[in-house]
Amino acid sequence: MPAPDDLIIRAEGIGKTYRMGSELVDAVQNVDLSVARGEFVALMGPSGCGKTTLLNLFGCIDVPTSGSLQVFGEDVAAMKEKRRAELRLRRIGFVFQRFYLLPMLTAFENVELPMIEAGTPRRERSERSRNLLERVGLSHRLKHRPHQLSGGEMQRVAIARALSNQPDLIIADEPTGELDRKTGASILALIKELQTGGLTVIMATHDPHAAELGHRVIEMEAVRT
Amino acid sequence: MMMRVAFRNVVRHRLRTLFTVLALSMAVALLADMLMLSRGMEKTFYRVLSSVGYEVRVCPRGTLPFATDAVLEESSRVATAVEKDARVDRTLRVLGTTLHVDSIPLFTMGVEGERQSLYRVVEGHDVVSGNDILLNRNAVTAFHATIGDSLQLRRDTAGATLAFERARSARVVGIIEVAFDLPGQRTAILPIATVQELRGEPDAASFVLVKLKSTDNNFVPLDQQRSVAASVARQFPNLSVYSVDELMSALERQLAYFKQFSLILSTISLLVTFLLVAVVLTIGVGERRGEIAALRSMGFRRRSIQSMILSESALLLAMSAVLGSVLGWLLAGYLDHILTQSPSLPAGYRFFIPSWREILMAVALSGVAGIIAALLPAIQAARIDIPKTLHEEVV
Amino acid sequence: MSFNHKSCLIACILASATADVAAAASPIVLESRLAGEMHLAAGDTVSLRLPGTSSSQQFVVSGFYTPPPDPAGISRTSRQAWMPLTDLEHFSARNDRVSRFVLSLKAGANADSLLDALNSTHLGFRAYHARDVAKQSSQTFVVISNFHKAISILSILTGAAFLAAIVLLQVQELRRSLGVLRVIGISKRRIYTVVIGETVLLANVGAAAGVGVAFLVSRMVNSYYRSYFATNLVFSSIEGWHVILAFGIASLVGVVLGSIATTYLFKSEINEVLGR
Repeated sequence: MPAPDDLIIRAEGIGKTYRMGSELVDAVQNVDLSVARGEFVALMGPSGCGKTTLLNLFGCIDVPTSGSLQVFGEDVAAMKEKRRAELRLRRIGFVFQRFYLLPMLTAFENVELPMIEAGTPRRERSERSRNLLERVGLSHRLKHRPHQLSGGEMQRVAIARALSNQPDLIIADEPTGELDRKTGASILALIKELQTGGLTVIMATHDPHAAELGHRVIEMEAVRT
Repeated sequence: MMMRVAFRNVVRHRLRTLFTVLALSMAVALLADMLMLSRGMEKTFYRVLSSVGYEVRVCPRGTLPFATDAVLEESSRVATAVEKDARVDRTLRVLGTTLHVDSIPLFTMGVEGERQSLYRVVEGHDVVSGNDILLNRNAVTAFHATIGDSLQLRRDTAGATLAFERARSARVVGIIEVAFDLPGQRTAILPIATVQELRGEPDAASFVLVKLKSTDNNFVPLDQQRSVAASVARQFPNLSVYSVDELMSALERQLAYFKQFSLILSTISLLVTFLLVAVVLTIGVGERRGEIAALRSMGFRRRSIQSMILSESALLLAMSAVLGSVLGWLLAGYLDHILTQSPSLPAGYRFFIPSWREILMAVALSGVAGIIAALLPAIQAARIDIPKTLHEEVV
Repeated sequence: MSFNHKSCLIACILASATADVAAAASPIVLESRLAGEMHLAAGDTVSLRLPGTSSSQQFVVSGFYTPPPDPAGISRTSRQAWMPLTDLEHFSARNDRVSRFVLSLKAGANADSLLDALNSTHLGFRAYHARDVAKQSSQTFVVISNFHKAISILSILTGAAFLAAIVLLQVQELRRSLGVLRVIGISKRRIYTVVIGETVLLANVGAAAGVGVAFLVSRMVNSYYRSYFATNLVFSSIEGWHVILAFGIASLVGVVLGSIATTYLFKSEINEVLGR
């Protein structure tokens, strides 16, 4: 059992309710989960079961409407947006299904972007961007724009970007969702390799093979109404 | 970096940016020209009035100088009385009439004495004797005259009746330039006594110009001008007396239309700038909701997102400022050329005086309008609901 | 008949409040504005004085008249009056002198031949056709009209550029949808029709709104300047061709820019269009 200080995520009875017009919808209900430093947790479940919502809560993009959620020891519900943004910038990296690279920037510039926001000095961020892109196997694509890259290459750039501020936690939401099997496998291998180096990873996926890479697989069900 | 991102966003859609900048530039140019218009006429009028060198004008009641045929009948009495004021340096009586030389009309001003600045002698010398005449260049060309030639002057209309009217001979002694001349106008200067004799109106004057004693640089404070004008007006309640700025106020009604026109068009230009920037940026933000949500999810602060949008606005405005300034300068010349075709306008008058001051003011006002217009899309961008937007982008 | 000796009339009327009418006072008709400005009524006695003189003469107000609106006189601050010619000649000591004659011709008379005949007599006057006098006296307004035209052209160009930017924005917004339509095999022709139809519709809705605003502003301009210059002149009017021009330009920009933007999208990489 991991010591409390080693817990990056501690969720107790958390829930999230959205308003859809005049209706209230429970996206997530009564979730208890702890994630320790260095763990690789895979979330599996059918579409609409709340995987993305849970990842948004863990990633401090959203705030739970019930229960208690602590990320890096801080109560998420009590945090101001500014503090949550700070955590997202410096301690959490996101990898999305749709990559979300800025189309008018090169691969290099996309990776550099979060470091600029964090105030990293120019020389350091330039060197780190280069190293990260080399690490994900794209040192020959530095000056390419997203539309000049394949799906797998774009996701690699997104992963490099997620690592740019040396986060403690990576949140990946269906990172292989838009990729073919082979490309997806290479992305998963990359994520596993990064995790093995000490990173904590929480990944949502449909793919059972992807889920197998994790230390733990958590099966989610949709909220029963 | 946000400026770099903003720049890349702006040039991402070249054609759209081109038309946006074009429209904004024309709005800036129009605004600059309207600012020039509102100041140009006033500046020119004031400059020409001041250049004459007389601060106060005494006219028949309810008239402006040369606006009517009215005359002061006891002008020397008026001039003498005015000169008694210790603040007055000298007076100049002027009597206008139309004479004919070989049936060609010639606008003639009778003036008295020397040391006057109503006109400038560019060749020859000023009138001395009653038979001396000065001509402007248009008159010299029309009569094929040179200094030393004699001209036969007649009053009243042309035609056979003139053959029966006695002519008065005058000798050309100099060539002049007159600030108030209309384009193509033929003007002559004669001694006032000669004109009075020709008109059969001894001691008449169209108006009396009054020069005040000045301190240094030939400058007389406005309140002193008004004070002397008021004093003369009290002394002669049946006359109209104007200082230069009171004369400007009397002309205000004629200038009013252009000033209001310039105000309306300036307002519209600013409105166009505001609307265009607001629309372009609002739609631009709408297009990039996913990108913005991704940036926010990465930890970009609201302020950074806002500064990105405001930077885009600033870039568009900066490009428009440069092009608009050039357009405004060129347009000013073109519009001035149109308006100065007016037949009733003296040759030296201008409606538009190209000036960097007005151009910079237009750029500044447009900049403020554009930045204000960018505020709402910037705030909207920063307030994007991250999870909702990310979800919508996937769907 | 009016005697164009402005010096008689400008700001030299002294209203008399007395009801006493000098038995020898001549009649005078005053401009309507003076009734309100100087609180005069028919039957009142007024004193007129020539500028620069001290002697005056009394006249009885026999009525008021509103001259037809004259653009040349909108900034006029003087007022007009009318009296029998002989009275004015006597008053101004200018016997048997007038500024001009105006001639009304018999039906069918040839004005041009009369002009030639009069001008060839060399009797010390010159004759003009009324239309030539009008043309010359309206030169200032020709200049102002040219100025307005120049500003109009600039405004139209600015508006067209504005509209072009909006049309391009609109097509860009449809980018992804158009990409999907291409991918699923919808013909280019149909896509062009849809896009251009939408851009033209948007542009014409804007034109309609603009015409509505123009009518409103035109009324406001007329109302304001009529009040300011105390005249019934029409300063601004929206005519049929203005409306046609507005919709024409809107349609043209919609068609041309919609076509250009759609063509540009067709030439772009499909992945870029789909945002992949």
